[in-house]
Amino acid sequence: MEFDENKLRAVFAEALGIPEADVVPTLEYNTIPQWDSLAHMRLIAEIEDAFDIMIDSDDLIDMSSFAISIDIVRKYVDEA
Amino acid sequence: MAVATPMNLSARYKVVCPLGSSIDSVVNSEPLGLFADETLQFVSELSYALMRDRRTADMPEVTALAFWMRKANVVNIKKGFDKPSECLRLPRGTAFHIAPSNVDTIFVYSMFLSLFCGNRNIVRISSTPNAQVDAILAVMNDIITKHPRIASSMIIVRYDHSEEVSAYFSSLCDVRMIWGGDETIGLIRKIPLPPRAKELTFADRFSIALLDADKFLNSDSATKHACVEGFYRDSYWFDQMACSSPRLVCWRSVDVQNVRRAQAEFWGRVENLLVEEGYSTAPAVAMDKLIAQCRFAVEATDPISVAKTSNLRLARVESKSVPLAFRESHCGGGLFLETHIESLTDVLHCIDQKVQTMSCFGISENEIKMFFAKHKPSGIDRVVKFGDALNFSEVWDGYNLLDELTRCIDVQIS
Amino acid sequence: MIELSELFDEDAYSLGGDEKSAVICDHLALLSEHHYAHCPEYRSICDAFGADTAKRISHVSEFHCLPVRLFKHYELKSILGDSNVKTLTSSGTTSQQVSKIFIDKQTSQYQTKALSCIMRSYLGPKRLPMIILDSEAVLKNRQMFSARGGGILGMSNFGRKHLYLFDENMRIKHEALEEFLDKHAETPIFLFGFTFMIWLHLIKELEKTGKTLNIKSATLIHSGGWKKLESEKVDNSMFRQRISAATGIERIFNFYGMVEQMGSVYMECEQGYFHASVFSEIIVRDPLTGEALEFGKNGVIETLSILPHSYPGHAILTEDQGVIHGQDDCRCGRKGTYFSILGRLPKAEIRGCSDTYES
Repeated sequence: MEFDENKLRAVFAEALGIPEADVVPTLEYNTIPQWDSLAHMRLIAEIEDAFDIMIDSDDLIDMSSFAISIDIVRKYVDEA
Repeated sequence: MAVATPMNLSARYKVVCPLGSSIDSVVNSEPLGLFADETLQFVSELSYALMRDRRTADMPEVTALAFWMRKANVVNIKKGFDKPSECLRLPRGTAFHIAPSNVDTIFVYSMFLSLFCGNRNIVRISSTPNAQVDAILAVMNDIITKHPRIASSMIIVRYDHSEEVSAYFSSLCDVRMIWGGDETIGLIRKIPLPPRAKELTFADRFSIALLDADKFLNSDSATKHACVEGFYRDSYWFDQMACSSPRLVCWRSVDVQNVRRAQAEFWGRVENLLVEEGYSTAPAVAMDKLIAQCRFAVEATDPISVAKTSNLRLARVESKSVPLAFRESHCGGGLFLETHIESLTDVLHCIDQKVQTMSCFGISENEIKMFFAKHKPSGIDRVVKFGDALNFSEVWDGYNLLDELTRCIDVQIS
Repeated sequence: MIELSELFDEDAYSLGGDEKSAVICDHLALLSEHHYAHCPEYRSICDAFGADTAKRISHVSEFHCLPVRLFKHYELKSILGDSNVKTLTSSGTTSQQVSKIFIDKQTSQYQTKALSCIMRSYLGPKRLPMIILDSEAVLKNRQMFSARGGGILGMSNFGRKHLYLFDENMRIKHEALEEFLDKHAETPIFLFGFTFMIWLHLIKELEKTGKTLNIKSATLIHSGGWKKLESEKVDNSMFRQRISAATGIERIFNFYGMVEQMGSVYMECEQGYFHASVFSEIIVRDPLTGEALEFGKNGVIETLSILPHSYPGHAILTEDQGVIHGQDDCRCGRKGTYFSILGRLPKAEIRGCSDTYES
């Protein structure tokens, strides 16, 4: 599967319940009320489903912004 | 004690999932395979539903449960179990799970690990109404209708404490899992099991956190923040009432000044985070904490000191030793006993069999391994990073549950 | 410094402002030092919280206070030598653990004298014919002296010709009552009882049988928790209305007090506010920060009393919520702090891995 940034953006928007336009690279964990620790779990589960990958727990914690998430998810998709 | 006949007992418990099921149909069902496809499919669907269903989506403990049940994690659990082994693994048969009424989700973890192992399951939950439990059951009942094989492998029942009902279920099981606390274990232990059946008990435990003060002080701000955030999650998510939430905080350094400085910064950050997260403490809980502080003061052998905090969301007590009252009168909600240690070896003075989890910051894996090898402590079944204390794992309280819930067949004919 | 003995002879509500606060501070400072020296548990707690009992304190809110529940956990006392001590216990109907309060002769005297000083302000200097709205059976068991029995005996000092209105089955003794009222038709009478008993066995009983009493010139003083009445949706004002309707009584005074601080009770005034007397003070604290709150803000009630010498009950953090309305300027004319009680702190929800198989 090819990594698709727009697909990741859509998953973010869906899981966090925010408009896709708000999902920008600088969007950071805990800077908006919608992206709290609970939403983070939901987000990870959605990403794993959407890209059919399994994220290690270290990466799971590191995914603290949309920009970093792009890099991490891309890595998994490329490996798969 | 005579085992009552199932006929006149069925009125004494209520089947809550799958609706309309019966003990007989479960006990007579064909066992599932280990990590059977049907099971994985069911768990994954349930995880998906629990995360999104409006009845459960806002419940942190349910989200954490659903996160644990997500496909990626279950595949991981399976991978850990698929190790090359000399023996063949088979389900044990029927598991009887007894869940405590005040931990909302533990019955699901217990039941699913057992389902992964292919066992049939009888699950007793308390009859006390509970929003989390009711919501989980509602979602489960929606989904289970599409999974007849699973539906015939499990039954969740509610009843008030009844020795006869528990004795009946015990007589049917091959493994009995008692999820605490000590009093319940004492009561259930008196009820006989079939000769071949085994029992796993999860007694009252408590947990500690260990920080290296020097490492903390030398960390960059982001690392400190992550450390404090992890600590917040471990401690405050379940109002510090989970047995894995730290209650004792050990500060390691040979330099007492560094401990003071690290404490000041760490707790300052915790207080800020509590405000950011909007963590609220009911006045009655604040009162309980204040009373617990007084009780430590009265019952401690060494003098203790109550550290001033700006708000009882966080309550601290410092002590040279660990007073016994610290366990007996701990009320949760963010009350921490702190002690200064100079080396990892000093942890031995702070622990006994009752200690379950030690969450660590700034301590290396190597140090921990050497500590266990050298001292062979009777307590501590789990060492995790800050932030991971509440993560349920198939290795729990010193048991590898997947091993415990399966039978090992030794085949030597080659 | 004004001695306690001097205060007993004065009006309980004549001191205000700095003068009153100085009296309270002086006595509490002595009591703090005294209990620090003689009660090991109190000493450990003061040490742990860094409360220096020898320090000169300028404001009443700075004394270290003990949460009231500690009296259930420990036998807290500062008894010297072989004083004759009686033990008072809370009735303990709602919880299994009871408070145990150790009262020696001296403290007992202080309590009696302070209470008498306070009651004078409401009942006048003369002892009035008194009806006790309870059964004499409550006093039979002297071994465990309950707060109910203690309260009745304490209040009995302020009346004479006592009539216990209820028989052992808590039924109104109508004949004895008529006789009593005939005999004392010319004088005002005094009634005392516990709020819930009055509600259950007097008001509801009279209403049920359609009887009324005509004792308009009487003064009723009552006390006790509102918890049971809350469950019947009865508040103070409805209680007063129904009493007046059934008995004609208009002078009705509730008081706020506790077994941990007998004597220095907080009487309700004609305006419906509780008042601190010269023997006591009230502080309202933020339950989370412990900070003393300004007037008009709701918080947890702390009660100060200058009477307890044989046990460290001079500064107690209650589990009641309340609000202070003002100081020295109540329209009833009494000086001192006046306040209202807003009920108990709501109970905390319990969860966790500990035991609950029973439920």
